[in-house]
Amino acid sequence: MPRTDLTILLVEDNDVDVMVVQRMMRRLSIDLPIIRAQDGEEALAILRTPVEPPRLTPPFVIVLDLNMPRMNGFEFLDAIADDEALVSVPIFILSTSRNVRDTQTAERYHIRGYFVKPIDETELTQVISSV
Amino acid sequence: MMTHRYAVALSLVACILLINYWLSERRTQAMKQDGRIINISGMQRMLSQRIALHALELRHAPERADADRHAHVLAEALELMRANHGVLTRQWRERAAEGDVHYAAYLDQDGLDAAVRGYLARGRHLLETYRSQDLAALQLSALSSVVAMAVPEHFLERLDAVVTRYEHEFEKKMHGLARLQSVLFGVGLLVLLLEVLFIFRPMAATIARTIATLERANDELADQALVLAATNDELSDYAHVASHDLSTPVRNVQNLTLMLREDLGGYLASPEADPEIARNLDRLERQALKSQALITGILDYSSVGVRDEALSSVDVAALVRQIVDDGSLGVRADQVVIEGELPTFETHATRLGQVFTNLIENAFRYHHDRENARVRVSVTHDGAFYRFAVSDDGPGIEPRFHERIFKSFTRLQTDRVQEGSGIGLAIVRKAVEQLGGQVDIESEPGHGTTFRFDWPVASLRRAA
Repeated sequence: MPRTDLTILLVEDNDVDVMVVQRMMRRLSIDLPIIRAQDGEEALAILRTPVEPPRLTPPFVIVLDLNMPRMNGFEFLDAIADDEALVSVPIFILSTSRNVRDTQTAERYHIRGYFVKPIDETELTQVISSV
Repeated sequence: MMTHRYAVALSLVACILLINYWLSERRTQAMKQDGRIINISGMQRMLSQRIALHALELRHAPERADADRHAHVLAEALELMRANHGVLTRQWRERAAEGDVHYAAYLDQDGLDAAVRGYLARGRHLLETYRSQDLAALQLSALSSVVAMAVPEHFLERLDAVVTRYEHEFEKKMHGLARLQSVLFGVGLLVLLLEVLFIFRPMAATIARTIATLERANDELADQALVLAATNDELSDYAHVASHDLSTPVRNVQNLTLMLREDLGGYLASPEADPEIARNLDRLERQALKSQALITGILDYSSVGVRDEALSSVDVAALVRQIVDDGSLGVRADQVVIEGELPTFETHATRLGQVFTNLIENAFRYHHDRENARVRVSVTHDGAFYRFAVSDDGPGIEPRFHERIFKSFTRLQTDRVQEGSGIGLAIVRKAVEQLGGQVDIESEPGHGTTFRFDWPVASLRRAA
């Protein structure tokens, strides 16, 4: 049974893709907070900049796009690779890319899943059941 | 110019060699001739002594038999000396005629010629006397002539002088010839040296320059090839990036259309709804789909063979099944029939999948009776290549279009619900030809279409 206190960190530069996820959650009556980051750098800032009260509190999952300006998905994964605090955080890639190069690169990281857009209901369920 | 000079120089060297050879021949010839004359001259000296000796022996011989033996030897020696003298005097006369005073002197009245002939005459006289008289008479009567014969005045010295003269002349001649040969040898060396200086060296320089020029040209070509390859990669990357960037807004249009449809759901279902709104939403969706198909096509085409794909073991039958079962074609599994055994081999899985996907997709997309369409896949093995065949029972393609369909963005039907990018067959051809194969089409209107393509049985570890 999915937890109800879960937060989703959605790292996505495309507004419409964010809307698609939000609509699907609404359609499935899943009422979980989504914190949205425009790119990898903004996601890092949310995860690491200490503010009171903290913007993101565990438990949370990260849904990560690959093609983004400033810092793309893989660069973000590199940046948090050694972060002890994030080892147990589930990370899902949600990208338009079916490219073998991308899927093979993704396999090298500690991620829970690789989804190709648009995300479907089973995939979304998988995301919110991962914690 | 260089060739001309070279020919002249070569002829010169050849001439010098020939002349030298001729001189050597002449030397040998002269050696033979003069050697003979020198020998004869020496022999005359020896013969004169032998004649004197046997004349004396003849006089003192106690027995008739001994005397006869000496007479016989004497006769032989006299004959030989006479014959030799004939040869020598011929020589002398020749030399004298050439103006040589020494030889002319031999032929003078009191010269060597006269002396020898006198000597021979006395010898013959002695011999005749012996033959006509008995031994006792001879011992008395021939005494004076024998004594005269045994002591010829300066005779031996004069014969010696002839031999020495001949030898001296011979040496002079040989020396002259040898000097000439040395000179020629020197000239030959000089010519060779000049050739080296004025022909071989400039020639070598020219060759070196030519090679340098060729190498430069080669390097430039290699550089250009690199630039070209880079440009190709860049173009490919550009197409990749452009199509990727284009696909996001198109996808957004699709998603927004879906949202609109969702939001307007209630209104569109109501009786007062304007039907044109629903139709326009459909049109919007179709246009977005079309754009998406085009972009995917460009993306696929630009990515054929760009990156090295690792080889893996590919079960072609399973690959084909997977394409059908994938569902994106929207056909039943029994509509694609595998005839015979399809191979399992090490190859580029994605690329081969791309080719089969496009050919099978193509067969169904343009079929007049999609529901009942049948596509058959088979293979033959021809040396280094498999030759796969994908046949359909569709409308067939007129021969005049057979070349055109392989060009990018060519479709023969326009108003179909299922839009293709028109790039599928271009991708097939690019993928097959990059691996050294060929794609052929066999089709007639009303009799279906068969596409055949080659695929290498063994692939290099790195893709082309």
